Amino acid sequence: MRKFLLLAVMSLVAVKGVAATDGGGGVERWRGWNTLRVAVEAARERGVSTETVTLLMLLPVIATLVSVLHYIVGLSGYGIFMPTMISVALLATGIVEGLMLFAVVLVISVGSNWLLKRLRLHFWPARSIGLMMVAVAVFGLMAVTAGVGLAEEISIFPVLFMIMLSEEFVRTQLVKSGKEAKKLTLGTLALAVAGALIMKIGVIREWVLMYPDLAVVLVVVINVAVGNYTGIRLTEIGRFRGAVRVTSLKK
Amino acid sequence: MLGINLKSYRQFLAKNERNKVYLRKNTAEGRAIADSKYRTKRVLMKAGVNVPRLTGRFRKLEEVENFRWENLEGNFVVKPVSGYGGEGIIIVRKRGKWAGEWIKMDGEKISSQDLKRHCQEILAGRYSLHGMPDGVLVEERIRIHPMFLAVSRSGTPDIRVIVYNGVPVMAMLRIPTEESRGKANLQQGAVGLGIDLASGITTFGVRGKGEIVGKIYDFKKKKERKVNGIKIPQWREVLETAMGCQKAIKGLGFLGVDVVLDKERGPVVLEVNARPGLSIQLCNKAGLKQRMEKVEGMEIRNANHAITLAKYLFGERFFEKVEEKEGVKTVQPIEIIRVKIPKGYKPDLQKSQTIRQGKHRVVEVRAKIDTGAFRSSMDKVLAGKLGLLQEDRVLYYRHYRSSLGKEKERPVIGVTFWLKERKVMTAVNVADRGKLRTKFLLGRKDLSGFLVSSRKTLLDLPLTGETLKVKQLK
Repeated sequence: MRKFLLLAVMSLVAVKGVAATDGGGGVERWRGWNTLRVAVEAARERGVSTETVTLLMLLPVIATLVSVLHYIVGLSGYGIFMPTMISVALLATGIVEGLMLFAVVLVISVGSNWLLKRLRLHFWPARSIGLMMVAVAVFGLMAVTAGVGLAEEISIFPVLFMIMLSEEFVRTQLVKSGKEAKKLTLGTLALAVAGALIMKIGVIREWVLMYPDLAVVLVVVINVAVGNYTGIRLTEIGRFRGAVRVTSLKK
Repeated sequence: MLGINLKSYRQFLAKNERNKVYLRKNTAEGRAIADSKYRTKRVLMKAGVNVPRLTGRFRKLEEVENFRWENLEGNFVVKPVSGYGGEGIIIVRKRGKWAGEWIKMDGEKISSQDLKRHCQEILAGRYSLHGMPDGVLVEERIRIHPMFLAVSRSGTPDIRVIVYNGVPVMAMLRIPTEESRGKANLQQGAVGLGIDLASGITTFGVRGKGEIVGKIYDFKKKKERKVNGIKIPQWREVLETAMGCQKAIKGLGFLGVDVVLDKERGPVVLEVNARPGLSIQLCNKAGLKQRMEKVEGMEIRNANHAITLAKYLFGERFFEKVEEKEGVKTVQPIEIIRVKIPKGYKPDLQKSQTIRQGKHRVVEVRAKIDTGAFRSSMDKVLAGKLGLLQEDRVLYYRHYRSSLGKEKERPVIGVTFWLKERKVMTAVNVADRGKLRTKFLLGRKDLSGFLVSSRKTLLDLPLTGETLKVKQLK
């Protein structure tokens, strides 16, 4: 563990030194090691969407956050991609609106599952009908919000991610248990919200655009360190607390 | 205490380390066998380990259609070949009132049609890990050992034994509850009771993945009972069966074996788990990592050796319980202890006599308390005379550096003794104490629960035989 901390600090110092020497702005000259930085700037100048580049560069950063929270803190959701994708979805819809959208999708998914259980269909046909119900409900929601003029149009991708998450919930509830499903879904949402909040911070958005190479190095260093961590997760301390024997000398 | 002493958590095997270090000791082939209940059954049967008898196996939809359910006696289990977490298992207790109707364990009715549909879903992969197509097994249902009827009405309790490097390192009794819907998986809300490896007696309890429980419901007496003190029948056979599984399935260095006690057949292996859960540490209040590190790389001679190791290295002291009753006892710098003689061994002693301690034969030995030493040590000649140096008594050999800096290889043996009427089962070093007056040195490891008095005592504390009349053996 110590060796990796050292590695992290060293690379931070190195990259910071590099960053300090050619801060200041303006188009940089290509010097080999700054390929990524120059490429990002060139692409932006030629009209590639800044938002897309930012989100693209932020994806691995969010994934890193998710893996740190999972392996060191012990907060888990459905894998690593689901929370990352949901956080992008939340960013697109806005966090509160996104959560509300998810709530609607989830209620319909669970409700349809509850109804369809009585029909005793095979699993996939039942889920197809469930998907149809979700589609109709989301369309209804869109119609209402557009009619009232509350929100902008809901784009399809956040809706797709939300459907994926709620399907995962239904499946876990069926195959494992309701408790497990709730835990994992809440975990996914918590991770996604954390990710979305980070992606919203202006400094970080600018930072990945200005120093994409630094982001790449950091992501690698942190993930190598986390990937080698074999210690206890923070939440496990609470779990194992009851298993520590206390030897008390009573009179 | 508010602060968390992180050191006391080092003994535990946590998720990160299990996944990264210990699961890698299981090869892909070993895991593939463990993940398929059918392959496990075949391999274990070949090795002579008891498994539930197979009645049917389906790989295609036609096989489900062609199966004659009505020929079944009504005492069977339908399960997915690669199911996990006990999911997708239907246990049928008996035939229902009408043909084509069955009664499940929970008393609900199920029709042959429902069973067929269930099999179709299994085949379609509803209960397999990634929705992969799966097979179905139909096998005989285990007839629960009567002892277990007292603790569960909703399913079959089983015994999970973790085996590492050929040695059983930890065990628990898994009791299905209403909440777990008859499944013995802690994850689903079943209750786990830790089991002392030496005696097969339950110790502490846990529900689900972390809730410590002190009481469970006794269905026979119709009231709550403490979680500790339940004796598992045929304990030695249970451990032997679990070890047999590791021997039979190559490539599994770290595994959990689920053993069920059948009324007539004794220990039967239901399932082998290449990725055992970690809650077992909670109901044993002991760390898996610490135990596994102890037997790491050790050469295990035979099953007997492995069980002796488990007994003396991991056996419970129960001293917390005794302490509650009797309070802390004080020991003098020199104490007389009673060392147990192995069953059937005729000790070669001139001065001391063999006396009785309960049903055991013991010999009194003068012991010096040495809190500077961790492990106790015993004189080589004395150990030999008491029959403690016989081969199956030697747990392992270990390098020691004596206080003079010399490197030595000493045997470590399993010893049972009584100190102040308290039974201590422990691992003891064998050393040459021939020139010393006390042939036994009591280290601090075996002094937990005692206070050491610094009062001056006579070195020649009389042994029982020298002052009191004792019942002599014929």
